Amino acid sequence: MLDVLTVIDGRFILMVLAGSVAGLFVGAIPGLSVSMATALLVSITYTWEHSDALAMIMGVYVVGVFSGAVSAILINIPGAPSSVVTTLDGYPMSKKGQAYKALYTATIYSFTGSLFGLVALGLLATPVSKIALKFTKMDYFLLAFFGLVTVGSVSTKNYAKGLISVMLGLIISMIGLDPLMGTKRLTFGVQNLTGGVSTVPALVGFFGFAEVLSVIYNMKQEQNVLAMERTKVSLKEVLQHWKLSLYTSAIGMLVGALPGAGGPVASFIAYNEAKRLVKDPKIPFGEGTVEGIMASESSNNACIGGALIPMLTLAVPGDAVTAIILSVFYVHGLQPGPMFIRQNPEAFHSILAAGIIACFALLFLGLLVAPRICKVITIPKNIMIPVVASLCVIGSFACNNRLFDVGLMFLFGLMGFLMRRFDYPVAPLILAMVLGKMMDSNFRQAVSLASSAENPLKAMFWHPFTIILSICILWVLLNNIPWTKGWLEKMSGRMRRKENK
Amino acid sequence: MKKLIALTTAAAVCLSLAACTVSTSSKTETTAAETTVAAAEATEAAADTKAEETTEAAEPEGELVATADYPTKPLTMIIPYGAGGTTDTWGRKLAVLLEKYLGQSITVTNQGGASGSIGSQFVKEQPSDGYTLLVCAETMGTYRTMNICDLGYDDFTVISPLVGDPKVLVVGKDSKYNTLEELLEDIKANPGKITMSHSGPGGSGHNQGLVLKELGYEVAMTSFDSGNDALLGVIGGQVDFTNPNISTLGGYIESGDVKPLAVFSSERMEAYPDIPAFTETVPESEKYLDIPYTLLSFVVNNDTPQEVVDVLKAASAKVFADPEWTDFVKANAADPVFEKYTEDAAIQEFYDNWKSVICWLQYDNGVAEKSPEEFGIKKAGE
Amino acid sequence: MKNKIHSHIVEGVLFCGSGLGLLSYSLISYGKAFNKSWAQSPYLFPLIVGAVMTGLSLWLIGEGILAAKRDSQSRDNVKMQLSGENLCRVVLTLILCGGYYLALANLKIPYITIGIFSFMYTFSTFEVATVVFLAAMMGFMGVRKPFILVLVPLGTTLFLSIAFRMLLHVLLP
Repeated sequence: MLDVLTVIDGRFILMVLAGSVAGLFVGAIPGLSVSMATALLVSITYTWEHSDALAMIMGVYVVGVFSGAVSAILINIPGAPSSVVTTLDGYPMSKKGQAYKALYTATIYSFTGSLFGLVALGLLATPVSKIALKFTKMDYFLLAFFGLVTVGSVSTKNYAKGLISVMLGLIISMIGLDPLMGTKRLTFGVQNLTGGVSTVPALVGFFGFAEVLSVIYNMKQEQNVLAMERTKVSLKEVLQHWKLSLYTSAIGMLVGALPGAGGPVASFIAYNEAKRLVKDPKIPFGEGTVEGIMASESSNNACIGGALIPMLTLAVPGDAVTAIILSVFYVHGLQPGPMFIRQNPEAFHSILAAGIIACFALLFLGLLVAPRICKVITIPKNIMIPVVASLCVIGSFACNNRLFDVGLMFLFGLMGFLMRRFDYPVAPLILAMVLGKMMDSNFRQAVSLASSAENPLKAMFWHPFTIILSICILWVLLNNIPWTKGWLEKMSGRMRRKENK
Repeated sequence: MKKLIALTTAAAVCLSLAACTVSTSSKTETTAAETTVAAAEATEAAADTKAEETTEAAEPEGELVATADYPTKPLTMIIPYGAGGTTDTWGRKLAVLLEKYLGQSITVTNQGGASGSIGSQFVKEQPSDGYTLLVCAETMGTYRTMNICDLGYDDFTVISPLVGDPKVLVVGKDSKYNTLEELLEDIKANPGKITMSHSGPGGSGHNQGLVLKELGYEVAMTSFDSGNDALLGVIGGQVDFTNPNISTLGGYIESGDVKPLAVFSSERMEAYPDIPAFTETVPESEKYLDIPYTLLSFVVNNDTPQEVVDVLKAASAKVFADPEWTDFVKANAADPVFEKYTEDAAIQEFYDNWKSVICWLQYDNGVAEKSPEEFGIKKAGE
Repeated sequence: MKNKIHSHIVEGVLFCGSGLGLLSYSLISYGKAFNKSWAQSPYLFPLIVGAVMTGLSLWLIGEGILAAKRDSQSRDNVKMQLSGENLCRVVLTLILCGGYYLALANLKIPYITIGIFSFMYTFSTFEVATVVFLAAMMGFMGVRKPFILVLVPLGTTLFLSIAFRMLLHVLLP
């Protein structure tokens, strides 16, 4: 571990810091994504030495993932899909004037989460990649499915509505060329739909623009200016959940190490676990509790370290940003794979060192910026909302350079607005949309692999992870469907009575 | 009063943002300076498509083969497969070296999915000004007969074929098969039961499976997301065998995670002389194995102006002579197709022959949906 | 109000329709497809999603019927989810956004570049349309102070244009 220190010098730290500052702004502005920024950096840094390039990119990556929470908390537009969960509690908190507390919590736990993930990367890269290899196609499908059934349950009181929202997201994800065969599906002859629906217009539309419409709809009832609570937040109070945060960070790291699932799934599973484990929160989950922000932020930041594991050891990127980091390696003639850490220790150490320095930069920047930027919510709504609307437009335009996405964003905004009015949660829809393609291809591959076996069902489900995941899914489903839930409670009640006798 | 405070904070936020952006802007400018030719303003980028007729004498700067009109702004190279695959590795290497001779930066973008048709379609829709390059794999020749999309090699101008990446038959390290004979015997004994993963329908891995079928070895094929993904399926023990390209396989042979059984060719590779050639065990496969199965090509849209094509051809010729490239070819045990076909006519003939072998192979096995005859592809030997 | 039907039932019917639509879409497309094997067919997943969607909508309808029964006994009013006057404002906003979209799509203002010292600033359709849109929307939402109506749109647009057009090379219209 101490070898890591050898790559650090003043220039290296400066590079990380520069990247961190850029990451802070890129992540916080809705519509600008971390993957966009890293992609841009690849073309800027191609002539640099690889340690400099990696330093800057890690800075952007670590801080960018955190700062997605800033816009999620302040204006209810998550900077990336993995910050979607942060909106569930973050935005209600800032509506109550506790934006500072929310940001403070997010900063502290993003820091611990990132650090956890990176330390795990340093110590456990090889064993974790072995676990990742044991995941079958069916397991990936089930893991994503598990994420979806939990998100249906955590984000709404009516489970049917949560699941319908999931299905709508899956339908949107099917639009375009199918991931395995390249057949056009549900495009209805619209050329612009062939490439599918991008995440950014959906994210910005369903959250940002829907918020704009909701505020306009409620303009008469809501106060124009939100008040700020002038309370001091004590570190001790925030840190009281450190045990739980270790657990959610571990979830984040492990899920992050499974390519394709990544931050969004990790944060939903962590959120669900926090909800289950915190028996009597002061404020219920979903109405602005710090535990919710803690779970979401620690897990999605721990994903960074996790996602780097399969990228370095198997050359499989865990998410969009690691895919770009992978290309940095190729540009600099480094070939990730099973021998990478042994053959190129200095590149591995650069990544670790840069990531850890970036964690501290995150802590520093977060604490520095939080008390200032949280004043954004005191800007009168009638000034803020038009600005947010224009951010939505430019953000959705920028992702593909086409106006078609802006139109889609408006449509999604209207849909999101109607869904809110009729109590349908939008978070499941976004998660389903992000995961849809991966679920589709993994499911079909699993079916195809099993179809040649003598006992297809056994071939599909008879693996340790598959069984565990299937049980988890069944458990969540049975616990949330009203009539089976009653049945389960009756069963456990009877069991308890028997024990008492 | 309250509003005034709010406004000043808003202004402060804006200012702090502006301060950040200025610092980033200086960074961009330095890199623009590094690329020797001044970066074109976004304004020119949009307005300049017509102005290209104003031809001036070419001014070669040092090694550069660029002319005054092309390239004047950064280029984009589309890799129609995910990061880390064969196409990606070679495309990126080409991009890095091309930058050297074109004097402009090349941004490499991966647009994977659907056997590379999504990325290729994207390139086709871009203006034919030579600023969007494509490094495509062999699937380009089979999109039409497979009914994946309406693209084919004749929609693009081939700057040069790049390399053929040898394919190796591998099994996991814990597999019960130790030699090719054992595997083939088991396939014969259990037709349609032995699983094989490949990189995508119509791709080289799939074609290789079809060759096995033609030879009487029927396997259960499943299409994975990429060659690397297919390989991990074997390493993870979910699939019996696969056939990755040697470039993706490198580290895994070294680390002992896989057992290579044979190279899918008529000759052994120089870099791995211990791996037997497929024809040593199955001599009758000779007629299928004299063409490269994984064939990478460097192309641009077919209505790109001739001057631009010439610049790119000259630049890639320089790349192929660059020791960095030749070393890379050797290190990856690749088949140097770019050396064999340099003349336009030879390139054309090579692609025609390739298409006829592969398309008919697929059509005869019920994989291709449309008859190659519909697209004027003749069966080899007729 | 004679609106006796519970909103769940209406929504359920709507989603049931889309579920069945997806089911038939995937079945018909599969029928037309060349490669007849469900295992790797592109229509397998839509088929399943369509079926689940239909099931869920039936669940929702069931809940609606139960809730409607309860409501008719307890005489609770079904709460109206959308009120006309408020909706009107939303529609007006959408029209405003539509206008902005059309302006971006159809107006062609030539690129104008201003040099301030060594700092080149270029603007075009996007900047002009955005300033107008922001001012209009603020006016619509009740901002009346003239200097806010002018300064905030200009400042925001300047920031967006520097960040996206100049630094990120987004090809803004």
